Parts: sequence; structure tokens; C-alpha cells
Amino acid sequence: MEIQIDAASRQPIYRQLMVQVREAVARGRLQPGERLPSVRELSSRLVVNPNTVARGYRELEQEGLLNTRPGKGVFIAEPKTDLTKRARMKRFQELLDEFLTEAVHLGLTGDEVVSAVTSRAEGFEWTR
Amino acid sequence: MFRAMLRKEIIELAAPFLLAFAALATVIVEAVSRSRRHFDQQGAWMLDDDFVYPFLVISLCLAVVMGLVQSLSEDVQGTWRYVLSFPGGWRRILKLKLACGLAVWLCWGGVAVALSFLGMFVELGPAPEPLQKLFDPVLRILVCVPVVYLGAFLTALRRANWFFSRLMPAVGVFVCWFILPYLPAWWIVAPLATAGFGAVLIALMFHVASSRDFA
Amino acid sequence: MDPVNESANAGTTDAAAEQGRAVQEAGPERVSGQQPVVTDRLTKYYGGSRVVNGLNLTIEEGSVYALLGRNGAGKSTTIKMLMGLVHPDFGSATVLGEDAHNMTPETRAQISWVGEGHPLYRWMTIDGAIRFAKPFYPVWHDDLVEQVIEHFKLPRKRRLYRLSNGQRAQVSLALAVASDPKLLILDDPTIGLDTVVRRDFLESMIQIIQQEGRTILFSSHILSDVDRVADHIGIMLDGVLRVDAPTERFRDALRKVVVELPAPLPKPPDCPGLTSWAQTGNRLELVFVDFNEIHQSYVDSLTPTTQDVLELNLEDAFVEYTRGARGIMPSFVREVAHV
Repeated sequence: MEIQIDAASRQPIYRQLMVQVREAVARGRLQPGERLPSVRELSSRLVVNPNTVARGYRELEQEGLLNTRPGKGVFIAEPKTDLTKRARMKRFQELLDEFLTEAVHLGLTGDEVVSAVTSRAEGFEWTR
Repeated sequence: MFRAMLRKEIIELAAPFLLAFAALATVIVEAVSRSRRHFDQQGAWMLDDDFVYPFLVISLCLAVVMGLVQSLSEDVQGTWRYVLSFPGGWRRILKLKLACGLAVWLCWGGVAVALSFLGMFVELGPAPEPLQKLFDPVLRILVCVPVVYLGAFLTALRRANWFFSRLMPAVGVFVCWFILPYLPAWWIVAPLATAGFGAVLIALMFHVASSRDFA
Repeated sequence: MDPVNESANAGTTDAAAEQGRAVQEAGPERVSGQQPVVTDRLTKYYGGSRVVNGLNLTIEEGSVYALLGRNGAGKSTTIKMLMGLVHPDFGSATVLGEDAHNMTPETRAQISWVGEGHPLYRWMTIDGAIRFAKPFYPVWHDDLVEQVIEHFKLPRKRRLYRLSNGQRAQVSLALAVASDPKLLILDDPTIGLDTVVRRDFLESMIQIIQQEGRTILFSSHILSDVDRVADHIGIMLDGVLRVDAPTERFRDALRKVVVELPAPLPKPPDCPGLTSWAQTGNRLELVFVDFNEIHQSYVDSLTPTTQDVLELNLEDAFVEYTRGARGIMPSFVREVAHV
């Protein structure tokens, strides 16, 4: 997958990197076990300081999305199941409330929201 | 290091050097073509006007230009900041430039001697008597004029405060033109005087270089 | 609310002094004697003005440090003093443990410098320039220079004055890296280069950064480049270092709050941490350093009809920080003529 960064964006570069990797995993473009470019490769490709790439990878690793195998590289981790379903649902509902608030402020109807969610969800890979 | 610097300094000094060479060659050709006996039996130039004074003037001009070019070319090209970033800093660069100046000056001496010899050969045929008399004026001038070179170098180096160092080449000219060559035991006094004056000028140059802002 | 003014520097606003203190980052352990660059109250006068005014700059080993500031802030003069080209009027500059003006050849051999405009002897060819520089250095890696020449397809036999600015910049950088320096100092190396060439130069810089152990100090005006490459920034304002922090920390420190007010204010009241403000009609922009609850309540006290708290990218953060208060903006609207 191609990672792109915008050096003039308000979002720090390492966070852009994290967002893109997370989204790629969520959309199934990156599979567990797949190897990501090394810090050096990515820093050359994106023309950014290797520390920035390293920081992005480090934080993704802390989130459990990546793991580093010394000498081998950086790989997408298997999806974690350490949080209980209930905890995950709670977290999701917090995000959902934020999202729905925004939708109300944007002046959308409940039906518009539901149909938008349904159609966008088709672009993602869902756990069976 | 010295070779690299020499290559560079020679290229930068090439134009004035070649001009001086052309001028001197012209002078000698002129002198020889006037079809008078310029050499006495011992092979000395008899007519100062035809050779010695022009040679002196050309040498003085060359010395001044050398001194100015070695310093000002860096200012003009904006390369002081580049070359002074090299290991050794300004001390090494200054020493190398002076060594190159000396080398070029010796070349000039060689060229002058060669051209004179050629002129004499054309005039008199092979191997006349004491060569010392032939080279006498050339040698005197070569030994005395470096003071002018150093003065000009110092002048260009010390650009902020013109007054004092502007006098340097003038003093040098005065000393070498009017005094040194005509001293009785010139072959002892002149080198000593040149060395003495030279040492003072070089010390001043180092002082200026250490306190000057190069950018 | 009057901010406490402890600033000893004339000509700087209270807010500027505040924020200067605010955006000094403690950073990693500073072990003295190991920093490649340390200045102590470095000062330089030109004419009557203090171009560099008591500068205390410390650069940690291994960092990529960007020295920023508007034109005339003193960046170039500082770098010249670090290279020993210019004499300080007061204070000292210590580079790799030695006084900047009297570095031994062994020490200077570990420093490489690329200056504004990439000064080189332009009558030399690329090969000639290499042949000139190489004998001065105890260590020289021909292969590093080769790589750059081959990658950018630089014409070795062509004289430097016939190369483009971008090509000369690459030559300068290649020459600088060939001696395997511990400290690389770049004084506005991308000035005058077009976008594509600047990117090429940055790529070379990244290659250099990837080989660890080098410390890089560079000054630049292109803040998106700085954001890519620098892990630490210093912002000079009026000859002093007003910001000295990791890049991220500086970006995080500034927040712009945009509010719509029911009625325009002649001037928003002072507040510690408020670094600049600009007003157009009813819309007021406020920029805070280390936005916190106090600032939030200050904003609320203005009774805005709407408010937005925005992060800034590095360029915007730099602009807001160094521009100062803009006051009430002209509206650039032509008066409607009445017929």
C-alpha cells in the first residue's frame, strides 16, 4: 500500500502515518502478518526524518497494531482480543455518540445517517 | 594540499602572469631588435633603459597584481567562507597562499632569466663570459620586489582600514627601486632587508587575518 | 490581567517573553562536554544594532536542529560565528569542544559546512573541485561523492558555473559529506532552489540523517521541509533564541482560537500566553501558547457566539509566533459608491 504524507498538514506527520496504517488494516488492504516497509525505506520514500517514522511505528506497536521482529522487520499484528466485547462496545458507543452529535449539527436526518453508514460499511472488512 | 592549492592559485594568477611574460618578451625583442651592441664583452646589459627599468616596472606590476589577486579573488568569488571551512582554517590557507606566491615568483625569476639568456644568445652567440653580470640586475630585482607583493597582499586583506596598509606597497616600491639595488654590498643587505620587511608584513598579515571578519 | 514582565530585553513584548519561557523544553539529559555546539551569551553588533544578542544555543549530539527566524533575526551571523568566520563582540561559541575561532585542524576536519549560495570556485569542474578539497581532509570517501554524482547524473567534466543552482547544491552537499563529518552545518542550503530541486536536496539530507551519529544544524525558510526533517527547532527573534524545543512540542504548544463576537473589541484584554491576535469585523483570532483552562475561560469571558480551537502546522505556528499582534485588519473592501 502507498502511504502519503502532507508536510503542510495540521496533523503531525507521524500521526498521518498512523491514521493511514490503521485505515488500511480496517479496510483489509493490509493483512495480519504482512510486512511494512522498514523505517529506513519509508523515511527515504516519504522524505522525512527516520525518527518520525519510528515514532509512528512505535505508537502503533503500543496500540497493538504492529509488532517488530528484530532483524526481520515490522509486521501487522493479529487482531487483539484482550478487551472484552463489552469494553469494546462501550468504547465504540463513546465514539458513536460523538459521531451522531456531529451528524445532528450537520442537519442530517436519522434515515440519511443510517443509509450512509450502510453504504460506507461495504468498503470495509468486518469480523465474521 | 600544497599541490592542490598551487594548482588553484596558478590558474587564478595565470592571466597576470601571462601578461607579464608577454610584456617582458616584447621588451627583450624590442631591445635586441634595436641592433646596437647591448652587451659588453662580459655579457652585461649595457643599456639599462632597454631592459632593466622595463623589467623592474613589469615585475613591480606583477608583484602588486599577485598580492591583490590572491586576496581579492576570494572576496570576489565569495569563497573565503568556503575555503576557510577547511581543516587548518585561515592560518593554513594563508601559509599556503604565501607559499604559492613564492613559487610563482620563483617561476617569474626563471622566466626572466631564460628570456634574458635567449636575448643574449641571439645577440652574442653561445656562452659569453661571466653569466653573473647578466643576471645581476634580474637577481637584484627578484630579491627586492617581494616586499611589494607582500604589501599588496596585506592591503587587499586589510580592507576595512585602508590608510596604514595602503602605504605598504608604496614603501616597498621606494625601498626596492631607489635604495636596495644600489647599495654597495647589495647581495647581503638586500636579502636581509627584504627578509626583515617581509617578516613584518607577514606578521601583519597574520594579525589582520586573525582579527578580520571574513563574511 | 497584567502579565508579569520579567523580560530584560528591550523591544520585546511581555507576551513574547512569556512565551519564550513557555516553549523552552527541558529535553533529554544535557551532559556538558558532549554537545557539539554550545554558545554562551554570544553577541555581535553590526553598526549600532545587536544582530545576535546574548544567544545561548545548545545542540545535542545526533540531533537534526533547524535554526529558524525571519530575515535579519541573526541566524546567518550565528552560523558564521560558529564557523569562526566572524568574531563575536561578546560571549563565546564552542564547537566540538573548542573555541569556534581557534579550532585545531583535526577538529575542523570533523565539521562540514554548506553555505548560502553554495560558494565554490566556479571555474573548477566537479572533478576539479573534488581534487581541490580532498587533500585537505584526513578522511575522504570517494564512493559517497560518486553515489551522488551518479544518482543525479552530474556532469563531472563541466565547470561549476555552467551547472544549474540545483546541481551546484548537490555538489556542495556531496563534497560536505565525503569527509564523513560529525557535524554538518548548512546555512540556508535550499535558498533559491525550485521545488523539485529542493526535494532532491532533502532526499540527500535524509540519506545523511539515516546514517546515525551525525549532528546536523541547518537554517531554512521552508517550514514544510523543516517539519519533515528536523527533530528539534530553535526560533531566533531579534538576535535571541525565543524557542528551543522539539519540533512536535512547538507545534503542540500553539493553538489558534477563532471566535465570532457579538461586537468587535477595540483590543482584546491582555492575557499571559496570548501571543497574537487579529480581528476582522466580528471575527477574532487568538493564538495561545500552551492552551489551558485559564485561556479557555478567558475566551468564554469574551462571550463569543461561536468558537473553534485549531491546531497549527509548523509554518502557521511559526508565522503566528513571530509575527506579533496584528491588531485590527484592514478589510480590503472597496466602499460602495452612492450614485
